[in-house]
Amino acid sequence: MTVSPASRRHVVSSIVSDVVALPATLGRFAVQAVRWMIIAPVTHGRLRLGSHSAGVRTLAVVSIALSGVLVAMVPLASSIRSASDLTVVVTGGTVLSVPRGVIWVFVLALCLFIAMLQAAAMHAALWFRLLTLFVVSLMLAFVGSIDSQGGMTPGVWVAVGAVAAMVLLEVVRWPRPPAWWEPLVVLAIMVTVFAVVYLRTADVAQSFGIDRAPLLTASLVGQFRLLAVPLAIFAGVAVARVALSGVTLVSDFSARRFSPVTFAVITALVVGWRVVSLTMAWIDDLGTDGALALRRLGGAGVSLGVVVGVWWLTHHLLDLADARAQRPDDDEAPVPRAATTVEGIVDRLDDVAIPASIALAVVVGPTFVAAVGGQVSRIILGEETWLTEWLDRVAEWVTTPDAVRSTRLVVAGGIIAVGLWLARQGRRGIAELSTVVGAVVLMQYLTDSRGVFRGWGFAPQIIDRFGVLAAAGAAVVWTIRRTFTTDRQSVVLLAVLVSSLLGQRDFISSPLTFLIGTSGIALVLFGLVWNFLTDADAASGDSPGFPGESRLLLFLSQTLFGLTVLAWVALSRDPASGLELNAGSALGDSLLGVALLILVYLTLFMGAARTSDLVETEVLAETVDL
Amino acid sequence: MDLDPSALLDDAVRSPSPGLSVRLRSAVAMVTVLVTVSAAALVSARSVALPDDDVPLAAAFIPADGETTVSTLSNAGGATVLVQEHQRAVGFRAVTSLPDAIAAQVLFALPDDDLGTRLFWLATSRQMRGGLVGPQTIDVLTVDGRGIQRLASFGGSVPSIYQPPLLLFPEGAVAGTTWNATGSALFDGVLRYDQRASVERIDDDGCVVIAYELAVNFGDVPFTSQEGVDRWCPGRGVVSATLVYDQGGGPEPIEFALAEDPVALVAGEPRPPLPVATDGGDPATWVATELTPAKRDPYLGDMTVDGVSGVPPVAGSGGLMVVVLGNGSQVVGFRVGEPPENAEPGPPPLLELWRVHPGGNPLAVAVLGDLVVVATSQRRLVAYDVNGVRRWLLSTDDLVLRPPVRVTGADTDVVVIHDLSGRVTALDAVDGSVRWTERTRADSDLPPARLGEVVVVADRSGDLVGFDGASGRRVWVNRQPSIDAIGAVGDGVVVARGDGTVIAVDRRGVQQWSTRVDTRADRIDEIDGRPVIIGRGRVTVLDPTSGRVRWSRASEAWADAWSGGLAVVDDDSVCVFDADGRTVACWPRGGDESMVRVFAAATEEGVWVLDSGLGVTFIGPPLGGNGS
Repeated sequence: MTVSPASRRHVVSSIVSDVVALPATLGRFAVQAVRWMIIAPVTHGRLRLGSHSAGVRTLAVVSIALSGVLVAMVPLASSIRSASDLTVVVTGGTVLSVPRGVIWVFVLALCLFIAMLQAAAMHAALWFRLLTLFVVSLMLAFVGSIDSQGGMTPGVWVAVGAVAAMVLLEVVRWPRPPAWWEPLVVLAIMVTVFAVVYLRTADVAQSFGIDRAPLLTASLVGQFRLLAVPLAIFAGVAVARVALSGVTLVSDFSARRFSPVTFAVITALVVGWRVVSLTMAWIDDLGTDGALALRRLGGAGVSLGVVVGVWWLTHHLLDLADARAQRPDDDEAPVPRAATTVEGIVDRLDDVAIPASIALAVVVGPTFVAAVGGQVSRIILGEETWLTEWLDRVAEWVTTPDAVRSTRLVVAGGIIAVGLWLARQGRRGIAELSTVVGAVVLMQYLTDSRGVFRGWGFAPQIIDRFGVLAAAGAAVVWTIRRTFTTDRQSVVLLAVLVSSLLGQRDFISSPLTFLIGTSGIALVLFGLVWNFLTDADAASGDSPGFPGESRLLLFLSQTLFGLTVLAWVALSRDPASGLELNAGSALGDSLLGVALLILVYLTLFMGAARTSDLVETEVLAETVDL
Repeated sequence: MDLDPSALLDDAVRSPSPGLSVRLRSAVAMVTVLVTVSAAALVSARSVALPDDDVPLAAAFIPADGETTVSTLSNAGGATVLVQEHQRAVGFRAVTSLPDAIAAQVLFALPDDDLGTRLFWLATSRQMRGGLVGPQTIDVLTVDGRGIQRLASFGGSVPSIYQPPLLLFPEGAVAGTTWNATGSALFDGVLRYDQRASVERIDDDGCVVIAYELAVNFGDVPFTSQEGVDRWCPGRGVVSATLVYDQGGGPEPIEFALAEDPVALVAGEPRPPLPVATDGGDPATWVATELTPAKRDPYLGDMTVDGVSGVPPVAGSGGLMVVVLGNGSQVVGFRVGEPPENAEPGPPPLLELWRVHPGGNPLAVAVLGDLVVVATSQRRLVAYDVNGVRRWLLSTDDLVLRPPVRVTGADTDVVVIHDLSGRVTALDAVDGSVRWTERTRADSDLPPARLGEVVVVADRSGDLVGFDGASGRRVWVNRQPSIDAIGAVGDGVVVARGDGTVIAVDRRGVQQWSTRVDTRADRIDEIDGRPVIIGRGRVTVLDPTSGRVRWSRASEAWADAWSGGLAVVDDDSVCVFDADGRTVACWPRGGDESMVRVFAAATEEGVWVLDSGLGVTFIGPPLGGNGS
């Protein structure tokens, strides 16, 4: 094959003109990145306060303001600690240290959280009302029991009175429409309980030279933090979602802004760089421990095979459903077969990720009840009672690895079953998401340290090698067939970037860790804030079971509590305080995030194989004015 | 009629005008929230307020907790350097920190009703001259509505225990205030005191000058007498004094004044020599001896002291054992002593050599050659010599939770800390001046490790960084997903992750091997060049070149290694193992098995086992007892 001098000149001039225009192109990219990655999601998913009552609005505003303060406390934690007196409590071998001047923020946040949770449930569905009343009663009992010292003290009486008041309020108010003063009354009750307990225990503890308030607050944060785990798991998906949005923009922007020649060069360079770097990593792994490297590669291959197999089955069921939908009316023109789009998947992510997060955290429920109930029983009734011992045993059992793993297996099976059912109904997007999420959870279950295939490992950073190699292989095949169009180049570039994300998603949490100086909470902090800014549309809705006020208060109370725990971790520099949240967020990232990326990858190639014009590109072009 | 309280409340706030109703509701809502915020703030402020925030005005004249004052004390024999440490403590915590005989007397001298919130001032004093150090004396004072009063003084030849307490500084002192008092100066009036005092003047700088006469008599026989003038200044206690002291040998003038350059004055005093390490010999011949920690007083005899706190005790050379007491505020240096004369046959006591209060709560202790370094909850690092005399202190950015290391080289002698904020600081071991400071990417609660002249630190993000001890230059960085424990082993460092992965890194920061163990590591030690992973319930010894597990066993309570062996404390026994896992010897364990905290501190001289009660067992060469 020969290239004419004119063609060569054209190639060179295209590249040169693109290079010359690079600063302007980068400027446009920055603008587009802000619009596409920040403004558009925030505009679409921001919280809308709506026309709620004065009581709800006031609590909402205070809660949002307090959440803002808590978020600001995280990066400022070092400065706040340096500038404040630290109150340091040494208990056993552990050291708790908190800036003395900010304790009140946490006391207020805890009061507000419980009050908003209770107020949110008062006019919601019956099951949620009863469940919340039980949880709030347990929390109040725990707060009151701290003052118990083995008997009925004013703190205990106030807590009992508060629970009775809640029940009374529920009974009296339930049939009526929400009143504006209800949330305020609930808040006043909470404040009363906290005030009595804090003041009484402080007097006793101080005679022994102990600062009781931080210890008490740490105890409340520590006991209640389990309630934020579902939110933390869901928050873990945010990084994958944002990263996906970013690489989609990079790929599409490059395809549209650069000349075809330059774009082809960029694609070739990126693919080549990834192939070389992964090959080098592979050689390095082989040199370090060849057997281990092969085992991990095999394990990742098998895991990926299972996930792809489940996805393929889902896809087959969806096609069958499409075919069924066409069959009754043979006279009509055949309806083109629908294709799942990346945007369709991202749009339906919440429908799968939220229930999956709650399901994955289902063990939190009995753990919370047993742990908090056990503490209450221990303090009020004593160590030796059958209730205390039974609750301790339950708390111990539900947190055993076997119990936690069993729930994962059930969750995996359940989600896959639901996904296959949805596929039979022809529900594209949500069906594949469900089955792929289920398959990833299943493979993680089978390959973890207690799994049947332990040692094989479900390692996304190994799976990404398959992704890059497949993309590179497809590029070679299309090039040989001379069908490597710009759209297909775009798919290959995006696929390589997406597969890279499988193994590398700490580009957000790492700089954040450096910024906030506290390790481990960056991922969950980012997820919570991002979801608050961009994923609050559900809180603005309305339904008989969950009226608007309930949704708003519930959403804000969960966000407030999650941020309370994070700010406490940062200010106390005690990662153990937020252990479950960090673990939950990492779980959400590694299961839901990875499933999302794998599915996007598969969808891209499926689309490229089915049509020469990618639906994905059209969708992007419609959504963003590039 | 159907009455609904909530409907009534609704009606109550409903106004004729809908616009006013909305405003009224909003106002009520805002007021409720403001009240809530205020309540939370007030409750918290009240809850974290320490009782000494509202103590009498006289409290303003005593030094802050953890402060030290250095003075010159001159008499006919010449001048000595007086180093004093001050502790402010509240309630029972102060009383329980005293030896039992003194605590009992203090409780006897005070009313019960406000004991829980009473402010105490404990001052320890040490005199030095030309390398010689006098005995440590401790003054126990209290502050209440009467003013500053001395309750007891002990550690000298004869203790003083005042009943009623001796008023030194009256509340609301004004010029011309006078007071006289008589009472018991020792148990049951064995000695009696007669005091006359007056406020001479109050200077422009707020300092108060008090003149006094104090006679202590044994029956009708004068025992001691003092006549002098003290100058008290806010926040500093007595800053200067002149007195004439007569102990029966004739009047002796004494002058006392705070030093203008205390750091130089203390640094000018020669440091005591490092106690010589003794050879423990073959561990197979060791015996277990149960010891009783005691404070020996020439007059009161051996007094029992408090147990060990949650901070691991540290053994130094020459039999020094440094312990943070159970009350959590004082650090005590112990050494095995001679039995008291005419004592019953039995093992020798573990005698208190000195007692220090670096301020707040000690969080970590290290014996680094001739320095005892304590990190405190006041974000301070305080260094003492082996005689318990404070040498220097450093205020740190954040808490230091783990013991520092000392790096010595041709031109280097620095103490290196890694604080909770991630700041790494190297201090001159002689005067505590900062040599260099750096920061790691994230916060840290792990101890630094020493590799020759390189110090290696790990942070919570998993970064492992080597710094040159002399210059602070970053020599290498090795990144791990996380690090839970770190220890220097042979020519490199070994780190452990929370999932049981153990990684060895050489002195260039290059990973050598990786392995897995069945425990989450708390500490990493070394035995004969082999890494020892000390975790929750299990110790594991690894091969230093391959990382392969050489042997492993359960550890119920605590374990500690030294170069020649590993001591493992179980619920009912203590065993020593050699590097190959062979049992050298086992001894039944004394002490209280129900005690929550049990520690072992192992050196070549022997193994100390301490629990949070009073149980102390020394396993080593037989100790010279009294007929034992």
